[in-house]
Amino acid sequence: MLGGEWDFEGQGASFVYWQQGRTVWVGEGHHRANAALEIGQASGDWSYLHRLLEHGTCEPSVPPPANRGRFPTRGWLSRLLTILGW
Amino acid sequence: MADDVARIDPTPLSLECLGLTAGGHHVPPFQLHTGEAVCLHVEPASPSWYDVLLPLLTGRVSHPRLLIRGTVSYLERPMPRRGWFGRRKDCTARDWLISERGLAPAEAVPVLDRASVPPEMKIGWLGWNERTLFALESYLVRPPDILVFDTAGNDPLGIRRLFDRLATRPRRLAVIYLKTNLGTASPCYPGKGCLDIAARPLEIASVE
Repeated sequence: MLGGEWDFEGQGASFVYWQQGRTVWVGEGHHRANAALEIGQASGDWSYLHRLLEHGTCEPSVPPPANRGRFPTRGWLSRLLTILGW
Repeated sequence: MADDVARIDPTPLSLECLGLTAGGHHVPPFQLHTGEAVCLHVEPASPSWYDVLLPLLTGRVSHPRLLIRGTVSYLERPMPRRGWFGRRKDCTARDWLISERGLAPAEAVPVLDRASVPPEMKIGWLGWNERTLFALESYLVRPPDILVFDTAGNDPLGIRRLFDRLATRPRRLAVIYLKTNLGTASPCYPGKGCLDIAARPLEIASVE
């Protein structure tokens, strides 16, 4: 993604998410969402994430409550919470 | 004798909706016979379709204008459950089939094979497409009379794979597709004899 090789438009439809305000639930595309998040956190450049959302498929409404959960990232806190079961 | 044979309906009625309104959703009249498929276009409304339509269509909530004959299941994807203090119980794919879907261990093996899911894979780590197809395989082991499903959260490839698999479903299994994304890129459930209902887009198809 940083190398400019990610096809945001071509691969866009396969990124599926719900959005309500500033909360986004990802259905398909966790890896690329993680990549965009990590870039944003490291450099402050959130355009990668915005482009993912722009070209992705936004589902209407919100996912059923039982299908919602914390977004797993590669950060240590997320890993710890996963191990602990949260 | 010939008259008796002619009176036997070759495709019995599985579900009949006489037209109803529930929670802002207007469901037009339609009939669903054995083996048929219906594509219901669900427009965003509040409360959401899963709070209103699902309980109705699965028979958990009865409605005088909706007659269901037979068993109905909703294609529920495997999700980690929340336990004490919100802790997740993320079981393996094999355990989910046995404990949640009630399959025998011997029945679980071919399901895992067909869905290409490792038995010890935690269900929380399955992708949404993979999870949906895995759930579908589990429901096809002992199929209900009617299967209600949606593709919310699935990408186009996942939707196509789901439709392809449903095309080879048991002939008696009727399906109701709740199409929640009405964008033009999102396909309807394929089939013959599509029928549009004016009030709300509705397509009815039968399986050949």
